[in-house]
Amino acid sequence: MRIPVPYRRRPVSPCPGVIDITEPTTIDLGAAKNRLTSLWETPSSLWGELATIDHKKIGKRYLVTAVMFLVIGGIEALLLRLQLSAADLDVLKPETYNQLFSMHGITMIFWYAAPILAGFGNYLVPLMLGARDMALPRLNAFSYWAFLFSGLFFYGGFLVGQMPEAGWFAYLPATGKDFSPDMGMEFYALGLIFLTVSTTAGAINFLLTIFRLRAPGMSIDRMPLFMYSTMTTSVLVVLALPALTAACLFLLLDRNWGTHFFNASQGGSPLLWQHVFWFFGHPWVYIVFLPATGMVSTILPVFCRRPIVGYTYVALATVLTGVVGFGVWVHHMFASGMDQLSMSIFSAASMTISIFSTVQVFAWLATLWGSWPVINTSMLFVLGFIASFILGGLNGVVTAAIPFDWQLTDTYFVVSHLHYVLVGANLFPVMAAFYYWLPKMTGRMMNETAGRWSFWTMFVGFNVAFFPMHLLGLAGMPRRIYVYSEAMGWGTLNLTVTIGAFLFAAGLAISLINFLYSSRRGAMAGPDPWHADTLEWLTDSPPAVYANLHIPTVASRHPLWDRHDELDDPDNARVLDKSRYTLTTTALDARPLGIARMPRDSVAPLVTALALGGLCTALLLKALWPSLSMLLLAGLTAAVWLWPQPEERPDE
Amino acid sequence: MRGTTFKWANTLHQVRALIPGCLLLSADCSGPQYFMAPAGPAAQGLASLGWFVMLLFIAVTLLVWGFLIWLACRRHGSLETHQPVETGGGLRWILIGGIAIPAAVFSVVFIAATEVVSHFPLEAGADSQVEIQVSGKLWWFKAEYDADGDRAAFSVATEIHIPTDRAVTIDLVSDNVIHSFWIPKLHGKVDLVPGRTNRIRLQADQPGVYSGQCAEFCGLQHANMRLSIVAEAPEDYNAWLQAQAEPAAGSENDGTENEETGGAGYGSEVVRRGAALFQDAACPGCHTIRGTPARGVLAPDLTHLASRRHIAGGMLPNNTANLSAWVTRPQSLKPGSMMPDSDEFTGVQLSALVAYLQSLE
Ligand SMILES: [Cu+2]
Repeated sequence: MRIPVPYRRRPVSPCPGVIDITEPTTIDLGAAKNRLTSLWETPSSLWGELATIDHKKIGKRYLVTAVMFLVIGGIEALLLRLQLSAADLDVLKPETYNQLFSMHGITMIFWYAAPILAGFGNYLVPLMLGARDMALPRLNAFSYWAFLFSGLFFYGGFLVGQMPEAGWFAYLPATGKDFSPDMGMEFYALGLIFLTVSTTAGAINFLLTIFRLRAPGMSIDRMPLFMYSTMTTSVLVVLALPALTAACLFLLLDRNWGTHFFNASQGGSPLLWQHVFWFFGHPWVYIVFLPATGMVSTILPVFCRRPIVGYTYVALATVLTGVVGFGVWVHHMFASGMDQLSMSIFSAASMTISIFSTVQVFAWLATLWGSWPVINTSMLFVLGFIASFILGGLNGVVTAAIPFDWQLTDTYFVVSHLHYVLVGANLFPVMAAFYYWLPKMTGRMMNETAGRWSFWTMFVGFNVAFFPMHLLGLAGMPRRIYVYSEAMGWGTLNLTVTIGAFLFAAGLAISLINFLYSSRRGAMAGPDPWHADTLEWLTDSPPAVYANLHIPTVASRHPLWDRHDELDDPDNARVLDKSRYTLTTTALDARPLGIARMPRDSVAPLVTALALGGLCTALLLKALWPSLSMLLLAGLTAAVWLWPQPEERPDE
Repeated sequence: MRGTTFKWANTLHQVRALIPGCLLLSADCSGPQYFMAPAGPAAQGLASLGWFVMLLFIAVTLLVWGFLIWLACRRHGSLETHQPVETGGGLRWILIGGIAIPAAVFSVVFIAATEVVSHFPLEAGADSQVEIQVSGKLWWFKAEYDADGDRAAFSVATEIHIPTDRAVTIDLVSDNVIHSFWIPKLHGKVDLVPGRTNRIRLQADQPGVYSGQCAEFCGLQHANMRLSIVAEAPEDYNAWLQAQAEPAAGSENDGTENEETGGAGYGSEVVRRGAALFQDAACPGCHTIRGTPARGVLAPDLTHLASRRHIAGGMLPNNTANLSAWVTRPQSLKPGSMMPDSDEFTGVQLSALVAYLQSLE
């Protein structure tokens, strides 16, 4: 099955024998397998499940939880669409409508779009790098628990009827104490601060994993493109998220402790919120879309049966998108009365950043051009993504043409644009990724017929739902209105949108049912059903807890397509079965550096996350002593978590 | 260079009827807020730019889609028969299609956009004089007209009159949350931000009523925060200014009417009773009727209420049924608005009150 890919680049030999291991190597590979299994396995007990730090389990939990939030956010959207399906309807009360559109945006953007990608990253990054786990496995467990509890905390507000009512970007002063006196914004601000802790921890973990745990020989120019997007995204998270934390903190202080960051009458400024929020918020758009493009750059070449065209261009475009992504935030504020020079600069930056996207699009097109593509469900979703991304990108450039944006901003045109980008460039790649990687995760193939039905229903529903929104925008329909009058003439188009939305939801439901059914009943997948090129396909499906018996080595960009044998290890130097070991390598050219010992399972990350959840709840209730004790508890469990551990050895 | 791009955009605007893409859009060409059929030079500039950019991008999208579909349908392989091979080439697609062409296209768009901004800036030069100040309230727009010569200053709600054929400069302020001032057929949006004074310059070419609404989410009744601009020929506009500056019809200060009705000040007994009811009820706490003791400032000035087309922040047509409903049950018509429900009037009293309100021409 190893077919040589003729590269123009020099062949690089792997690096055998450089690894300095003091332990004698095992000869009996069967015994080594057993030892590795008992070392890495999660005990099948409740305690074991709570304490596990296995990135594969955590990744799957991320995926399941994020899909739950997708379903919740989707139901909220359908309720909104019912209310808008005709003029002057009375399905939802105005406050319910406002709460639902806020919850829909916040849920989808914060608790679905980024976490679902973190889920794929968690599962795939170590496998694609040939590592045995993430660099900081306990932090990884903590990230998941904190993500889950922040979501539960935020939806706790839903249970007690305290929800944000002014949209996901929560402009002041409408979200200040004067105009939103109830606790909805406390749930929003505390929940988001809690979530940023989780996301930041996850991003640091990805960076460390990518820069330290790559297989020997996987130099920086041989990384799968998914690594470039995950890496860029993680840097964006680390640099942009503090702005959100700060914004939420200022909001809490203004609302509860009498500061005036956003209060114009006391020398503050409501525009400060917009600047700080969008300084975070625009990079966030790239955070929820770059990993998806990385997944597409990984999936598409496999089904085109050829390496991607312009690897270097795509990698550079990804990184540059991240860099320039920090310079476009003001394009959300073109109507707030800025001077024209700064508006022009931000408009130019917004158009520049589109060029990095067109580079990626044409890299995909060029890859298709010289290939005999294999069209299956996964590939259909990839093609559907490219189609919607072209439209969503270009109608985004329409809104970057400043004077015309004065008309478009805050209309349904923008709603259409952002859904073409977020659904087109996040959900479609995610669906492609599910069809592509679920066989790896579950060991079974997804049903192809159901998949195709699902794709076409979703694709048609998506366009029926979101294309007419362009026209509604041009017809002057502002976003976030719970009712409109017959005289506006928006009724027919809105009904179309609603029908499309339900069709889209039905298509998604087909896939979700398919996943549930096929992961139990589907045909066996085997290790590499797609004859793909990246290292995760080297493992069994589903992968063994220790991934590969030998840490693989890499000699080209497409390890499984070249002549080099990744698992060739005559001295058994890369079995590493003495403890929870994985191999570390240098950041640029991935020369072996040493052996890292991974920590044991622990419930400390769970307890720390619980304590932080308790802290948020106590702060919500403004209870001083419970807050302090929860902080203390979090500190203590973190100490237990970080306490040096004796080496774990399976009995011999 | 200057002006050429814009003229080109204008030409495109002229020929757009020939483009089949417009068939799709024609469904909405009649809507009162359809800004691609503008009614003033500023909105015209924006719409021309919009047509230019959108038609350009529709063409690009269709082209790339066609290419994508062709690539996807042209030939298919299978995992069994097609081994991975490096076929090489294709880099030119990225350099030309991915970098050179978009860079050129986006530069053209950027230049066109800059041209349009310089033709229709939001702010006028130093010579322009602010005539109207609009403030955003919860949830209605208040427009204040300055005193001029012997004409007194006055304020109106929801309906802003402007003269045709010349640009009018409007200051935009808010003392509560952020709103956005938007009359789609006349110009783009400008936000009303607490602590700032933003400015917009509008011009309507033809007399008419141009509807708009608040475009930045501002709370519970954001959807029902509407406004309209009534553009009138200059002489009609001046007459309107004079009429609005007068105190209310039938009030003590309104000498001419008093003679006719024997000094009582009101046209009829019913209206007189309605006026008394108004002053005795909670109404004067929030509303002003100039020429009477009612001096409230929180809610719309009702001095010439009967001259307006709409009430309740532009939500309801101004007629007897809506006025009666609004006086008694505002919370079911527009939940959350500042106006409280009222049970204090009997049916007879209510019709007297409404008759009074309708006499305020
Ligand atoms: Cu408003």
